[in-house]
Amino acid sequence: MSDHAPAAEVASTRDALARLKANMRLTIKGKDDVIEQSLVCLLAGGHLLIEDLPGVGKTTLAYSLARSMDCTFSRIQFTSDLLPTDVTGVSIYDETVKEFIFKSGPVFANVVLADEINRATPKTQSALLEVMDRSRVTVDGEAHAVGSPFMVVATQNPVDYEGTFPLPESQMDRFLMRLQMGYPQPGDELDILRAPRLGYDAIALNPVVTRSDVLKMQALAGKVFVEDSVLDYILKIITATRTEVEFKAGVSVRGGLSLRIAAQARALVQGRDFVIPEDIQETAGPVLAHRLSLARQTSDALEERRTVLAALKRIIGAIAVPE
Amino acid sequence: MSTVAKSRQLNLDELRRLKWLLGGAMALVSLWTVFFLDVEALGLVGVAGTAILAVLIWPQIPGRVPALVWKLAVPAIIVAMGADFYFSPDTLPVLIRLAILLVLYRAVAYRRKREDLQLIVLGMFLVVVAGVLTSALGFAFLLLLFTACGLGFLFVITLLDAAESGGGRSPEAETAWTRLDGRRFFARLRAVADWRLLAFAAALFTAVVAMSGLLFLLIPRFELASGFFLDRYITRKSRTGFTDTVKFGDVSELIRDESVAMRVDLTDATGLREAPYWRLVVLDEYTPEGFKVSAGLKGELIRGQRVTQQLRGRQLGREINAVGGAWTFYIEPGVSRFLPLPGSYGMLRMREVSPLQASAGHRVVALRTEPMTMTAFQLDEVEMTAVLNDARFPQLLAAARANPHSGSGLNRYDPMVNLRGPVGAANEAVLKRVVAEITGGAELSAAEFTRRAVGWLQARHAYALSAKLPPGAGKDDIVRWLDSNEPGFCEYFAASLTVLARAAGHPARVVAGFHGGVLNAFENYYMVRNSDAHAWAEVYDGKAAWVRADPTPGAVSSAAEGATQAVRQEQDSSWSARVDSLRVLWYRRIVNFDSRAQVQMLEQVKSFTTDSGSALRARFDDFAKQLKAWLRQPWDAKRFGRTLGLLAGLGALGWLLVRLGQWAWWRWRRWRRPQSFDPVRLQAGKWLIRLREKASEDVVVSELQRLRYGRRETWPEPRGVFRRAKLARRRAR
Repeated sequence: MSDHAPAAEVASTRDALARLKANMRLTIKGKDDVIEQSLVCLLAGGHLLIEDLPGVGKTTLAYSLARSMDCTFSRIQFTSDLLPTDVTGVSIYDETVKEFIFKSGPVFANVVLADEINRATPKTQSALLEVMDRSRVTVDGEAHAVGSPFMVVATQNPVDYEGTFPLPESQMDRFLMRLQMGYPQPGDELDILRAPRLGYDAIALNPVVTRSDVLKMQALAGKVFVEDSVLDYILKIITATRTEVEFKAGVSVRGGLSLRIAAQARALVQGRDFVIPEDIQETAGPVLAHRLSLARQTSDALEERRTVLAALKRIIGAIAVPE
Repeated sequence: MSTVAKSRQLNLDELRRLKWLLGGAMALVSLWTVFFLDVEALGLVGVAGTAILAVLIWPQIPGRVPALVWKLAVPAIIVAMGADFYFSPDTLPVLIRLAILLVLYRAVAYRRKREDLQLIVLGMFLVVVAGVLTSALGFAFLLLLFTACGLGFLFVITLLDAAESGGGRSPEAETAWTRLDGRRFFARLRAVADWRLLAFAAALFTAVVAMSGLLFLLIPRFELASGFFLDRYITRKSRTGFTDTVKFGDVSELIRDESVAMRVDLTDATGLREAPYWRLVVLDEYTPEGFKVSAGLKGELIRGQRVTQQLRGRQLGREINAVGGAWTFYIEPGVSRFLPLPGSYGMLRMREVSPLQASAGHRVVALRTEPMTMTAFQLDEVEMTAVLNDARFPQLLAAARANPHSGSGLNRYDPMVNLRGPVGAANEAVLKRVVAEITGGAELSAAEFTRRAVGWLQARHAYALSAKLPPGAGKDDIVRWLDSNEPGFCEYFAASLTVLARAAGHPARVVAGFHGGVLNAFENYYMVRNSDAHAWAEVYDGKAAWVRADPTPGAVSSAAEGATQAVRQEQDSSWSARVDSLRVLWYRRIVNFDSRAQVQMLEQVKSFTTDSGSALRARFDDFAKQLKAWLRQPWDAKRFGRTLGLLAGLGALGWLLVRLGQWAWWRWRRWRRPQSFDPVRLQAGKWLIRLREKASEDVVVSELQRLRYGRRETWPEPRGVFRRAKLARRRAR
């Protein structure tokens, strides 16, 4: 297997992604950028954290994504009394065969929506995070592979922090990207209001790509070429976050790797087999912002998010783009 | 944030180590300047230098010294200084020693910012004192070195000051920098040293020096030197050769000293054919130990003392054969209070008003005291001649012969001193015999006697740097030598000739000075070393002139031969001459730079700019005229073709040069950053910038992007892409 992306595969990926985008646009109105970013996350093989208010289409996004690529979908509503086994599954004793058999939990799907992840206890959260990291569940010493492809779309509410367990920074690092949905434009919202259906169960989307297509595309993303000066550009951005006084700590090595793979995936989404600096500039915000925390205290999460993004923008603006 | 440790910047500890190094270097440079001074502190400087060097290499040493030592150091310095003040007659050496001690104390102890600044001030004190006292060229070099160190030191202090504002470090962390591994530290320095930073620092340093130079050229001059109390303390003395008394062997001792005695700058060296005799002092009185300046001549000099800047030499109006243009003398300190004169002169100008003693008859000019710094003066209309007219001497001689008992003393010059030689029967018998041998009983003129006596001496004695005196009771040294076949050096020859001439009844005297020197080929000046010291004789011709007679074998030009025989001019163009010319430049342009020189230089600059401006204009006019004439010539196909061909050839050459320049630039880039270099990528990057603002075709842009960022194997043909990019830009316009 060659280590670079053949042109034909790149072209077919572009077509497949265009189909995916068009399909998802049927249910998600006026959120092309979010659709594209979530596809980037999918191709990069990462997990998505969507931070926004309830009822702006987070679930719809995840469901549409799953349906469009012929994947299984499951939804876990996180609450404070949710147990790890409620997520991963449990071994129960089967009288008939006289042994423990594994009852798989909702995490055994291709696209898992972890709704309001910060409402669960840290123990439950970490159970999910382990699955995210390893793509498998280990119960009683036995490993069970979850779906492949596997993508977790977690959501949390940035305003209402009453009775929540905020994800620690180390766990935020596991998510490749953090996105905001935002309210739709009035015209798009009017379209949504006009539509007759209610809830995501009513969404009827035909799959436009197969699971194996998705896996192939994921493999292809890793082969997108990154030129030395572009790698150097990534390095400079990462290093700059580490010396920036406004941040408590800089981006980790995993953060840098994530930026690279996200930029590769974005290049592929754009139909290129090489990364340009614009890919990095576009993905730096979603990939890096949630890995950085401010050195000073802020009044709420929204303000912190705004300040971090502004600082990140300033840093990237100050670094010379490889010309 | 420990992950930043390998950053491209030095961390705090490395900066502290750098500061320590620079401070130590600065202290060493300032100690070095003490070597220029004649202060009894060499041992102290040696100890201090070694200690500073040691703590530079092992910065952890001061940390191991017990705290008690540091506590006692300051009282100890105070006590030492008090004792020094009490025992030492002079103030300045004590101050210098104190400064050395304080520099040592500050340089070997760990310093805070305040103490860093103290170190700069102390070092500066030493450097400035040495500079003011010596005005040597080496000092200029040290000053530059000190400035560089000091600027770097201040820069690091500023950096540290900005970075350390937090404060409150533990004592353990405070000395962490001393434990850095030296080799690794230097590797780090090399790693973070950016050629751009170095170039910037060099440019900044040059700018500072250039600005100082400009200020030096432009600020008004005023005489400080005479008002300085520091005048008494001087540089290391060179061996003093010429005082009022020259004992046998004094001059030859100088001959072994290769150091430079003086430099004589000539504005025009073309007319010089003879090696000059630099006449310093006339020794007219014989003593058994050697010749000396008689009391009468001393009195004449004292009576002739005037505080002046100018001294007229010969009377104007006579036809003379002046050579050399203006002769500017730079005499090293300690050579003599007598000024070297290569012949008769029109005007002597000192650098500043000074007490000058002059005797016109003897043609001797002296300063009142031996100068402690470099002496500079200028002569013009110099005529080099072996004959020295003295219209007064015949009158004096006649008066003295008429009245032999008038006596001598400070108030009168006794001409008879020029006729007295060794006394005593044994001496006189030898002299009489030798004179008879030379003259053969005939009555000879002074010139003829001199010629034969020189011949006789050179036949009997060879030249050697050391002389052995044969034993002989009751005889003076010079008579014993004269009567032997021993070799000898210039003083013996000159003294013997003088003694013989006197014995034969011709007034004669010994003259000491320098003979020859080396003409420096780079800067047009004579460099006269102590080894050029020489002694010769002058014999009175019986009428009204003294004629130079040099009996030393190998010195060649005696009075008679000098005119006919062109003396070989030594020209020096070695590397040492090159370095020495730098020193003369320093004397001429920096140390001796007074308001006159300033005006002169400004006028030179002015005339140079106006001259070159008008020359440029003239050349341009000329060119325009030629071009016009060329265009007006009839044009036919052949000429047209030729012109076109020439233009095309020039164009091709220009294009080639540009390509060559690009190639060299690429090679350099590739050498600097071998991984990330690719001319096609660079070119594509440039085109992407050019096309960014224009709403141009996406295809071209994506092709360019592929060339710039894409995998090489997938590149489209670069030339075609660049061509299309050019077209796209044209269309966008």
